[in-house]
Amino acid sequence: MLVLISGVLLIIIGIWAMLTRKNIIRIIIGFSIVDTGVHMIIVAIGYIKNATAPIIDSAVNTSSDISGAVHVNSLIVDPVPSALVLTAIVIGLAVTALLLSFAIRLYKVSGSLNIDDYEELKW
Amino acid sequence: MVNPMIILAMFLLAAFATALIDKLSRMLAIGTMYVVFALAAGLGAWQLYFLQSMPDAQTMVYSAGFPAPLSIALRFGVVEAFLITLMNLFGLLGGVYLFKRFKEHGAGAIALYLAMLLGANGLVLTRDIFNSFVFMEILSISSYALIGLKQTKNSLIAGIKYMLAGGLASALFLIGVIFVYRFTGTLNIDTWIAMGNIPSAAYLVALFMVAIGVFIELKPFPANGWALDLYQSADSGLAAIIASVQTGAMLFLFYKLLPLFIPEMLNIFAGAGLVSFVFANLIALRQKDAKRLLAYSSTAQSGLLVFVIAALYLLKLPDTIILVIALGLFFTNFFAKAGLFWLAGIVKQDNLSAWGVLKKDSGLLIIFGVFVIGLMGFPPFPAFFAKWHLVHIFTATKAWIWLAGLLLGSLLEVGYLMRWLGFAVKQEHPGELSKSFSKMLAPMISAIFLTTASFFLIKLYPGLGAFNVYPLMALLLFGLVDYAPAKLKGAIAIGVLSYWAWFMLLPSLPLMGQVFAVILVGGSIAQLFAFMRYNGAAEGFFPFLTMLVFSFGSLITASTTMELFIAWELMTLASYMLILRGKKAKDAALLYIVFSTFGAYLLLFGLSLMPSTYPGYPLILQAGFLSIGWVAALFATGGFLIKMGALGVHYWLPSAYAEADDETTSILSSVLSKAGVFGLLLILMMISSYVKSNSLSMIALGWLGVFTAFIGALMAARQEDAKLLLAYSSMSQLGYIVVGLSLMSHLGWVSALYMAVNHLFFKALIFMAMASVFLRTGTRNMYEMGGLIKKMPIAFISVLMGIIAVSGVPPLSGFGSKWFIYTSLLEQGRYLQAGLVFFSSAIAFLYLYKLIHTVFLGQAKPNQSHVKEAPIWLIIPQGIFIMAIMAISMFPNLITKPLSQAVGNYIAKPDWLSWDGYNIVLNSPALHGNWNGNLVMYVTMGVFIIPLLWLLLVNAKTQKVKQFNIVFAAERPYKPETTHYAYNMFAHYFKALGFWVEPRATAFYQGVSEWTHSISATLARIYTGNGQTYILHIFLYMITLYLLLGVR
Repeated sequence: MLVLISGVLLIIIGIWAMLTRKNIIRIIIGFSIVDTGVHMIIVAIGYIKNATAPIIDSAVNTSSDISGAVHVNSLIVDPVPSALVLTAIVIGLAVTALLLSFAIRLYKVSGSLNIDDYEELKW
Repeated sequence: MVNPMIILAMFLLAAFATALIDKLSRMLAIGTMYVVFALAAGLGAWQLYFLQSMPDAQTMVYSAGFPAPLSIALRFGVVEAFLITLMNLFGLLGGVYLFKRFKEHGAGAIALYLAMLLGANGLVLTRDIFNSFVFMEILSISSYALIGLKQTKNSLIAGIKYMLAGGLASALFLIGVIFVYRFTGTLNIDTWIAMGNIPSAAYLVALFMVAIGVFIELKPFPANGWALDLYQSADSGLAAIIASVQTGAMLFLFYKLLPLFIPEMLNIFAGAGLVSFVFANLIALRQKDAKRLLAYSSTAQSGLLVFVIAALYLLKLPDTIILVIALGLFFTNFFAKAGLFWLAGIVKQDNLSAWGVLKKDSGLLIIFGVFVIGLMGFPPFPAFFAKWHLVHIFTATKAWIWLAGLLLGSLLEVGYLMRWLGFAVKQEHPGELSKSFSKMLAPMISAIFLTTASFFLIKLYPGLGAFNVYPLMALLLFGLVDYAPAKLKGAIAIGVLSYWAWFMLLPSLPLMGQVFAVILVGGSIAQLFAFMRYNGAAEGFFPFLTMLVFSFGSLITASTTMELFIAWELMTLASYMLILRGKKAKDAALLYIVFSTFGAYLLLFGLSLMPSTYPGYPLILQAGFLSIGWVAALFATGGFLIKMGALGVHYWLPSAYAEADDETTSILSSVLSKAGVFGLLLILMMISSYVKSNSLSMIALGWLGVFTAFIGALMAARQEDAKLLLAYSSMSQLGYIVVGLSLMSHLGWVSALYMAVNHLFFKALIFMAMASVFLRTGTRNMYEMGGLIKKMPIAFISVLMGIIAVSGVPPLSGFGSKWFIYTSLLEQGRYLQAGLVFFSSAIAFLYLYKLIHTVFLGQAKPNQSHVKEAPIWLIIPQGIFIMAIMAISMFPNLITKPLSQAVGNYIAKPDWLSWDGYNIVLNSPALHGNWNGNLVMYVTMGVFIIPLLWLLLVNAKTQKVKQFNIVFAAERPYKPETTHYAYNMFAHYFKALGFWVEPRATAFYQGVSEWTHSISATLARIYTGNGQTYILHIFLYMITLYLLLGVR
């Protein structure tokens, strides 16, 4: 629950940063914070209290029936969100990297990182 | 069947291999990419073929051999296969267009482009929601990166805005996905759907976040500032792919999710889509930058599609219908929008008014026209059929707001697209086109593909007869030989049309249909001679003229409302193109098409309320048996009255008539307006079972006609420009026809039709004669002419005959038609209307006198001494019409009897109307009278010949003087034209009557236009250009939609 709440908090902080900071790099940092918050929420969803990691090893209590099928008897964390979050992190990384490289290019082309200086395209 | 994994694997492999291949040879790398697209498109097509032969085949494929939800499921059904084919074809075309970029940037760009298409393909195929997220990101990230290839300030900042917006949208999507997973325990969309709605507010919030994540990517107004900047600043080739492939894939994802949404959500998204469609189009109206205009238009289109799928889903229509309609719209927009972006990259002009450079390549201009007209949803393009069915569905379900929004948005769209077309066709611009084979290929193939597909669509569309295809075939064939000399084309056109009219059209029609065939088709053919006067090719006439005439044919033979409407639209399109051909006709043509489209939408709505008809029998035959409601009749009538230029909606008429080429104006006035008469008559027939002459509605229609006649005549008397004079005169004469039709009596209809035939003859005659005058004098202002009787005697005789006929004095046929109208009005007891109509006729004398006196009599202008008679081609139609007028004046039975018979099939001929030789006898309780046109003719000839002989006799003694003999002429030959007595000739009358002709309609429409523009400008202010504001927009938009949803 704590993870979930802090995830939501992070998203709000990130969005606040995106909306109030004028420096493009800071906006990107805000975006990155939002991303982290999302990842924390994903992980929190899969978490089950007192459960172990979803790996069948000595920590997991299993039994097999007559047909040979294996049954898991102890609580296991849902592995799917954990798998998803990896993908999400990678994608978030790619977007952030791309954003930063655009920001650098932009600075090289026109020498400012203030988002208010780029309002030529409008209406 | 094909395993769709192959497609994905192919793209991945190619993207990775590119880096290596590029080291070997760049051309090879680019070639490999093209091969991959071609293969993927081929696989899609092959799957389509396979599924068509085996409709029940399994289309679901599971990765890793497990069924869902343990694995990721892909579906490769008919729709997916169709989209895969289309998207990869586009990938190929777009790739060819971007050839130079690839050559410059090499492996990186190629791999990114492949990844982009990989994302789009995957997004279409996958049935797994998280997998959708992955493909969405692949698609987005590669498009972000591709934008960065063009390293200008604007495109970089647009890229950043795009990434921030896209990143936020996908964050929302992801949170939604994970929470839905929490509730359902699976990521498979089909399993979600099968589980049905989970009654939990938290679940709904999660679902809403999934939906809004996708929806934001679809660029809804007003949360789309980032997308506008992106389209505007990105490379045209890239914008084309984003507008078509990326949007298409996203839309399909949205479509896949629809079954999950609760009705309230569907409602919200349908509404949001519609708002986006209307408002984006509204703002587009005032755009001057071509690419930004396209940006607004693109967001409008994706709004439309979201609206359509959500609305139809809400109405619980079967999936096949939703898909057919959505794909119809999508297919057209896909090609048209991408094509326009591609053209923007060739034209390389930001400003719309600079698109005149397109004229340097008529091929490109035609392609541009195809895209623009396709985008507007004109037949035969698939979007037309989609919109037709949409209107019918919304009418049937009484979804009035949706219907109104759809039509309003479409009308705005017509406004800016046609304005753009006007610039391209008419504005001169010295710039150069940036043409290269690789750039030309994509728009060219798209246009050809779109046209061919549309052509087959209309040919194979169930319930459409062969006649509907003729206008398009004519356009195509005459378009192909448009470089040939005008005289040759004219001869072929007259031959082909005459053959078709005589052997195919007339035999298939009942008598009333034949009457209109003679008016519309016969009247046009006679005037085609005039177009042969042009030396050289005179491009742009014959394709549209033949199209126009054929569409008249399909209008009269139409047996279903759809056929009627298609014919109507093709007719409008052809006439628009003809008007646009006039030298200064840009604005006039725009006005014409906007009014016509407005009329067409009224008509469309009216038609959608009508019962179904019997295909195969012309409507004009069925109309006596069909009965329609008064709402349908009202709207359809409105549509037809606009084409006739009735008072209040006549605003388009003067300028269109004045600015079109002279010969075109003749056809517009004498023939095209009668198409409106045809429609109006058709509607009146369908309500004749319950609407009679004394119904309030018909009395009101009668007054509308009377005032059209009256005001038209007054306006005509004020004009200095002879063409404007004749334009208002046409309006006035059409008013008489409306009055006659409104009588709903045998005599009334006969008089209206008689008037219609007469008006065709005399107005075409006068226009042709005046066309010769304009041609020879080079001006249209009457006060700049004079004394042309000696230089152009044939034109004088034509105009003289014409105005005698118009004014309705004996012996010519105009008298007959006026007499008929007066008597039929009196017979129905409409004395007031009769009185005012009579008064209008008196006013007609004023303008007719002005016309003939100022132009042909009085003092010849010294600078017009070179003037000579017009070329034979303009005289031939005059001869035809003079003979026609003489024939029906001498022998009115030739026309009155068939007309009476034709009308008799719908409203029985009363006993008191009879023919006694040449004498028409009325002997009703209310009215006695007779008219013998033949006798009147002989008497008048006698009255004319005796003084003539006397004059000739006396004339022998007169002394001839030269024009400037001061003894003869007390007039100073040189003086400013505005002091010419014909200038403002009837000023004294207008002191008394002027208040009637204050430009109220003008003021009204200008007000509408100004308001629309200022609303548009105000709305556009929300796009401040600031990236943070755009992020804020997205949030506010999301919150607004959520609140509207009303989920607690």
